[in-house]
Amino acid sequence: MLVFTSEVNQNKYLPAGGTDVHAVVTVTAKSGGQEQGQARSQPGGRTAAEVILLDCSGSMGGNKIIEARRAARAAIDTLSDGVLFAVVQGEHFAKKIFPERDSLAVASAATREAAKTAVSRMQAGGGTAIGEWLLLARELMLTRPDAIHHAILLTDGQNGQTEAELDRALNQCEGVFQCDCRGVGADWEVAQLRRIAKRLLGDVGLIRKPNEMADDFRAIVEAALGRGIDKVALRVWTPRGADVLFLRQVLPDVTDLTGGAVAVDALTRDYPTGAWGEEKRVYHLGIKILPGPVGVEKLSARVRLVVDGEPLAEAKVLAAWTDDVELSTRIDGTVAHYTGQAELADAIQKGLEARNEGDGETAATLLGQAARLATRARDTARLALLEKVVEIEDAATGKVKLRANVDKLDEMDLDAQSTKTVPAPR
Amino acid sequence: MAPAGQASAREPSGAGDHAAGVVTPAASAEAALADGPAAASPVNAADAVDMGGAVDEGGADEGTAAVRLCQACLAEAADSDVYCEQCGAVLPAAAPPGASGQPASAVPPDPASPPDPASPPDPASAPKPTAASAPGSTAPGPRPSAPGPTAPGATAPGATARPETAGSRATVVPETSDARAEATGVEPTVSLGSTASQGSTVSLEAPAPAAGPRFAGPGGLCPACASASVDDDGYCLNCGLRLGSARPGDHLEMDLGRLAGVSDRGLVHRDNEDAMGLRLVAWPDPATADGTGTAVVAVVCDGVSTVPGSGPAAATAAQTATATLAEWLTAASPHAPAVPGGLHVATERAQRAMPAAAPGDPAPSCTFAAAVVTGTDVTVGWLGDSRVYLLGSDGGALRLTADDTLAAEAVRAGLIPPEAADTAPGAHTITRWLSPDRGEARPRVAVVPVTGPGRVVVCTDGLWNYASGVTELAAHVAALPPDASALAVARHLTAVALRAGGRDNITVVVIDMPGRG
Repeated sequence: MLVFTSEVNQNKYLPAGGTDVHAVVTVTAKSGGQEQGQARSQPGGRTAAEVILLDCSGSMGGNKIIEARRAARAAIDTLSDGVLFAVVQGEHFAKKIFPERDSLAVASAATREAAKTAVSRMQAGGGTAIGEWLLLARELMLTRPDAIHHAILLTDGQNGQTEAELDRALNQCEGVFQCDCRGVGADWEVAQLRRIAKRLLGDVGLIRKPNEMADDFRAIVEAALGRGIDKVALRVWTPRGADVLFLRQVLPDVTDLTGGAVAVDALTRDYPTGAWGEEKRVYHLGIKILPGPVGVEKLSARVRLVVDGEPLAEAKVLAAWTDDVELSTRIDGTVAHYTGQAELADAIQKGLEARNEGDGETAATLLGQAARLATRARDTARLALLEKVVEIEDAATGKVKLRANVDKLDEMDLDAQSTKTVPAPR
Repeated sequence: MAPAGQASAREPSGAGDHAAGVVTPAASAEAALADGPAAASPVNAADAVDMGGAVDEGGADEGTAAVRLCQACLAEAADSDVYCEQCGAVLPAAAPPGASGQPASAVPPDPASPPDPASPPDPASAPKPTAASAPGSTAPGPRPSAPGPTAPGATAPGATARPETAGSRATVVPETSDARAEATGVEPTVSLGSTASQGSTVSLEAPAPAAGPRFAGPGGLCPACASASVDDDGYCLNCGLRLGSARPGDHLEMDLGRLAGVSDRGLVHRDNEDAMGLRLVAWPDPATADGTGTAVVAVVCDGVSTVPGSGPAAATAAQTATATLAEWLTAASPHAPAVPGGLHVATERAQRAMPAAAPGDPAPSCTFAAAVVTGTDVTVGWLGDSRVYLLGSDGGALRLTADDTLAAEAVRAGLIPPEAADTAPGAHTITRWLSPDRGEARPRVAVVPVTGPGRVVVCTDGLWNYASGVTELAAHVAALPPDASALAVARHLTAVALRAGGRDNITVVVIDMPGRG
């Protein structure tokens, strides 16, 4: 059983004529009994379906395929009895290597052993058509529409398909299953995997050394199996005359959800957030509201977490117009923190892009801005990543110098982790 | 709007000179409302559908004290009123309507006569109203303390707000419509602050609704949009307003289907001193199967903010003028050429109805702009700087009024260029207006033939300050879907002015012209 609670951080006061409302909504899901509370719980216990998509293209030869096999075996060992699963070998086409006949196997001691044997026989060869792999995963998932669907995708290279081909596959898979993506080595493209992960509500990560794969896979599958409620959506109501400027998740990572809105009625839309386990997610909501006179207060948004239309938790975002400049100019600390985190992700991605295009000046400005924001957020892990790409001369002002010789993996790591955020200090 | 300028010579009072031209009060206006359940059906040829609710003589006598209050301004309202006579807000339902078998046109109730003893029992003494008693509403309609029999005219606002053929505009603001119907189950507790002391003499107890709306808060209807969806914290789930934070008259909406109006305080002024009057009147229409249609009366008045009392005076003027025009049309039907005369009578009566000032004080004053749309003509009359625009569905757009302002007169005299008319000093100093201390109030009148489908927009300067050019205004309307309802257009134009700063009160009335839809 998961119990959801939510809270809002915002400064509700707007100056006369002000229209833009910002709020941070924190949603926490905790395992709980039947205790009373305003948040409702939802029975878990739905079957999980896990599809492992392994890149077996020619470039995976040597040590990589050996470690990939090992990682897949570790992931399979993590599957508890009763979980539905399959393993797909990906090349320029997709091939299910386990189970042989059924679409999905039911995990047991026997099927886990059989699957591991099949994985050990995998050989590298062929191309990379990630869209094809995803489409096969979709087909397998749809044989059990009642399950909570998750896939894990491992690749070491760039997709050999056109963007349009990949988009078509993503369009079909979106909403069917979630997918976490992992890249191994230095030949894959961070932005490309990020795009896939974003559409499929997963995250993206760099595996620096093949021997780190097994632990990573185990952790991903454990997390996926821990999610007891699927198809959770944020349902955002705004009053007549108001518009949603943006809705983005800002913890644990930055993902813009604005474009994923599905209209419920004239004033309400749903933003899919996938499956939830015990966790905390934070959202930054921007609303443009029809202004009221000074002294008037309005509900500028109501944010509900819903499953099958049933509300699990609710948060209210307000707007109150005032003449008191002291009140209307105050910036909420939590909103400021997550605004900074989103800017940080953007600065790193654009900074690295400029660096790769040879625009050192822009790169130094943006990565310097990132260093300044990371320092302000006391994000030491991020500063350590940044340090490998730039020399930070003055973190407070964002003065940095680009390093001449940068390990490609360090740069990719910084890029892949650019969207990861740290919680606002309490 | 600035105070009335000195450019206009004062005239001796001509009050009373035009009384002969006034038609007798139309009992038929009330009769339409009396026929509650039938109000959702096509308008009868003999009925003037009174949505302005300007009849107060017909209320219950004082002995029975059947007090029905406007939730926005706490003014008393007659049982037959749908909208508040004082501020124009939607009134809570009076009582479960009954006596539906009584054809309104056959037995028009005498406003002065005692209530019909055959009316349904008082809901207060029969606390189990049946849901079936309010056609079109989803909840029974308790009313505030209601000793005495129910007036036959009582009916749910949601049911009467659509004088057009049932279903003909089924998509028009269903939310609001449903909400109004639901609202009949809401306990009409008054939540609007300062004037609540008036409520001390009035019992606001209502029978517990048998199936009240789920989100009904203690504040009852939203004063801005009349929605009954209010959450537990008192926020309107349609427009978002926290009910207790609004002032009476901050935002009013009237929706009669093809005719709708929005009046908003704006963001700066302390009070909303604009007023509007809306009315549909039966009028022959050869294009329909039974030859009947409706004519439209729309009036806006902008109270001069620098003269105390101009807001209420503007409300009185708008109501009086609207009622007079409706009566005039009913009597004149089907002779459209008589309309300009009606405009003159309307302004005369409006001016005499306005409250006089104490000796030595300036008299309350307001502008006047009216549009009367029959099947063949749009007739407009005005005094001051409130305006009427005609927006054709084919994209053609026209301003039908010429401001009575110092700047506009300077343009007409060739003293300043036309493009300076709306911004030059004196652009808001009016040279003609309505005021009880003025002489003859003769509006300027223009008549244009209806040549195709379109919309008429009647507005105060609170709107046109932000969209003064006719093409600019037309562009704002064009941002909406072509089939947008009159209310949607009025709301949209109000929002345009609010987003642009809302420095003045904003009133926008929109008329859908024949041939639309």
